[in-house]
Amino acid sequence: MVGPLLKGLRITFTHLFKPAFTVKYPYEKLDVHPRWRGKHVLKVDEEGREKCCYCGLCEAVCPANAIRIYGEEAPPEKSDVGKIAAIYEIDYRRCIFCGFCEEACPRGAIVLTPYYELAEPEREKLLRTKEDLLEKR
Amino acid sequence: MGMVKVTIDGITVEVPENATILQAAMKAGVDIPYFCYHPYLKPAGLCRMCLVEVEGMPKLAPACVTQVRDGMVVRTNTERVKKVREGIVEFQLLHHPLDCPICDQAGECYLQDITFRYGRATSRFVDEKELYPTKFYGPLIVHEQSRCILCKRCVRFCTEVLNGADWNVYWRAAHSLIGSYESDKVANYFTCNLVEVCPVGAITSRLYRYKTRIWKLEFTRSVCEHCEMGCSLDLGVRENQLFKIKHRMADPSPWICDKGYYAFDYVNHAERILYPLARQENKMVSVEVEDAVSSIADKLKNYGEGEVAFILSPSLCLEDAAAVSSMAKAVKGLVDYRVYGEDYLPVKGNVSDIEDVESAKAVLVVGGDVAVSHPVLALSILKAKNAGAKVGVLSAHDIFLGERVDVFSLLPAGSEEPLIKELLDGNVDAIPDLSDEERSCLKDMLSGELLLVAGVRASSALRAAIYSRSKEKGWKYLFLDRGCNAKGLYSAGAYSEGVGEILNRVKEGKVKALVVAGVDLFNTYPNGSLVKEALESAEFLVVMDLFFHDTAMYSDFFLPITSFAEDGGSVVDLFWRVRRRNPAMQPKGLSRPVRDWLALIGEAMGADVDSQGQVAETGWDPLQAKAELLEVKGNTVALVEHAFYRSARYASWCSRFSEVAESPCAYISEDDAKALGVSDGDKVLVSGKGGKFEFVAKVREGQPKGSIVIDAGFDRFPVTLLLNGSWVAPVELRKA
Ligand code: SF4
Ligand code: SF4
Ligand code: SF4
Ligand code: SF4
Ligand code: SF4
Ligand code: FES
Repeated sequence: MVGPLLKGLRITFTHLFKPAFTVKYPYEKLDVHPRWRGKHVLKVDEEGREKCCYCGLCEAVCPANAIRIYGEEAPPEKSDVGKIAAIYEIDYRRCIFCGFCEEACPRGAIVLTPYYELAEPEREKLLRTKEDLLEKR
Repeated sequence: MGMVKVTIDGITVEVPENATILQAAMKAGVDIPYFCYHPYLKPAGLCRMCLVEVEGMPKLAPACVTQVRDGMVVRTNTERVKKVREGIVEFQLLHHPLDCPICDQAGECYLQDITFRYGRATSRFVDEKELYPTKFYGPLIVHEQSRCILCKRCVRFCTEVLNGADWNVYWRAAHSLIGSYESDKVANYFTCNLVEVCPVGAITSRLYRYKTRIWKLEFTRSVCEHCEMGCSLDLGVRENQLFKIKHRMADPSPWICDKGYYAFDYVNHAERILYPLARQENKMVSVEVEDAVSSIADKLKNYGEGEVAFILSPSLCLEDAAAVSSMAKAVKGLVDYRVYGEDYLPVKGNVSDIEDVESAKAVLVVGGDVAVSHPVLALSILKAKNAGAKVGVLSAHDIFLGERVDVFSLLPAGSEEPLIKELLDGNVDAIPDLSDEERSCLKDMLSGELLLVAGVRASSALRAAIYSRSKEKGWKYLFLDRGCNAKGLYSAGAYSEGVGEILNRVKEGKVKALVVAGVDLFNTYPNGSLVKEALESAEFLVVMDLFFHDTAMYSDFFLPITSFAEDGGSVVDLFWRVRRRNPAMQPKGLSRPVRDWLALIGEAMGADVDSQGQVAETGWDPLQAKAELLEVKGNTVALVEHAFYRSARYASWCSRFSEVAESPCAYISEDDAKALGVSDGDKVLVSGKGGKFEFVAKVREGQPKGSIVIDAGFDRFPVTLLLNGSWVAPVELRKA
């Protein structure tokens, strides 16, 4: 009866002296795979024009209904095709990081990045707007 | 008509002998793709998308133009047809930009759908595509030339339905381009139909441009609120905002007008008042619904018989009108809807529907510009003309219909009605400015079967004349009213002695409390100074509306009401049919229908407000009319009319639509122009009773000397100050 108990304790004690698997987050961070699906970014091209032209495909494909977009006409310095998203919101209360939006996008405008630190003290702040998502250059 | 049997893909159907293969296939439920076929336009056989195999014919036949024969056997599912369809789609896409991600048509595009179903996944074309620039034609439509597939539906609409408009094919063959010859602006009141007939995204609406995607909109079928035609409209709503209007059901006509299609965005306007307001020390402050309701009820309770009056817009729904009528009864007050100063009530015509108009033998339009007041009726009249009817237009102002008909004369504004009366008495020579041909045509019209259309300007006396003459001669007659539901308001009994009389009594202090619902009197009543005096002397004024307009400036309480998109009411159309509106969205803010406000106020007062409206069996009898024919004398007589792009409800809050009419115009005769030394586009000054106004002169051929027509309805441009109860007044014309 005591046998199995000692066996268990032995395993526990041997692990006490082995190096740990976990890291001291947030003081230490793990590297993630470059294709990790984290927070989205809305890409801009070399001239700083927004790539997204509000085709609405990401919005339509999103299984979690996390994307909300409205479009508008745009001058040539803002878009090469004359159309951009006026409102682009991703609701991280809903997003399941499936990456379908990236896959659907015909212009490579929405991309998921390895950035995963999305926690917020208030739920409302998980609704991210275009300002927050747009790639900064 | 004989019926014939046709077999399509093994399905046998019986169709009329003049049907086409495409129509037979629709009946059989066999899908044949098409671009250029349109159910309400003549077949053209341009796109070749509908090619099918017919037994016994060596070549493939275009289904949209090939008539059926008895015993015809058609196949659409063979290898040959499949290959040809692939080829046609590949050809259509050779120079097509395929920018569906940007294109507003995506999701309802024929080319997208047909490519998806019948096209090949790849193209063999390797050269560079030939693309053309985007063209903007005024504030309403945009033409993406590269996306055009040259189906000519738009051009055919302009030639077949509008009987010619400045819209056609330029250049030839591979370089063909569609567009307007002369102008960078297309403003013919019906441009929205170009957007609707275009099967691809070549012609799209600028109002909707890029705002959202079609699949995000939820459509609700409702009825237009801008005129009595009551066109059926589909309202596209996303997140409680109205984004787009489509016209999917051909009721009453397959076509609609720009008012119905474009003049809706006021519904979402940021200036809309969504909470009740009350005046406190000369400022309007927002108040609670309960407080507003109880204060209004307390006030109204204190007034005696005849001391309260209600003025309503002729476009309120039947239920609202019934509620106002019953409220007026409860407080023993007055009520009227004739805010344009009309002295007539709706007369029931002996024309039962639009087909009766379209099949008329001869049509004579008098006393109003039908294309402005009832645009789609003008198209039906043109349809009658194209079917062989003789059509005449005799009016002091006309822009669209006159130049497309057999007999047309612009009458002097001051003596329009006496002249028409003389004509009705048989004196054709009284009408000025007619050629001999026109005169004899007019004589023929008067001696045979005739449909007389009395426009909205025609006074009660003229209506009486038309009515009695038509009865005598066995003619048909149709009397047009202003607003979209005058017949409903009449049915609900919402009339007394006219809005002018009410305003006079308010001014004299006999009526102390006034409730104005759904209308800015400064924009509609043809006597701006009377409106001002009345509103200033009213002891208590409640305004119910969407916007804080000039009338609301004088109000003690402002109650926000719902727009047509948020409310389900009924309206009675030109042919006395009851049409139901369906609410397409939730009421914004605390706005609610007029009847709901009145029910709350009624409850607080202990009065019962009933909003059950019944449609009247009979119309008004014009022979009761007491007034004289309208005749105005003077050196220069002006007729004031709302410009088309300012004649929609709440036009000032419709962004793109009202932009089409840039500045108010004055139509003047060539003689007057010469005498004043002005030419087209110069500024002229019109001064009269209540002020001086500057207009852009438009020198018009056929405009009688000493008679001008000036535009109303512009913002901060109260031309009604020139008037004195009717829309015609003596003025002075000068060069500015
Ligand atoms: S990752 Fe998936 S769930 Fe998240 S926004 Fe994109 S499509 Fe929607
Ligand atoms: S799919 Fe791409 S281009 Fe289309 S709306 Fe989404 S991000 Fe924009
Ligand atoms: S017209 Fe149709 S196929 Fe062409 S870009 Fe627009 S949606 Fe795409
Ligand atoms: S503009 Fe549209 S309707 Fe007109 S020809 Fe081109 S594709 Fe056809
Ligand atoms: S004809 Fe009248 S009812 Fe029809 S769309 Fe135009 S304004 Fe509306
Ligand atoms: S639909 Fe028959 S040729 Fe275009």
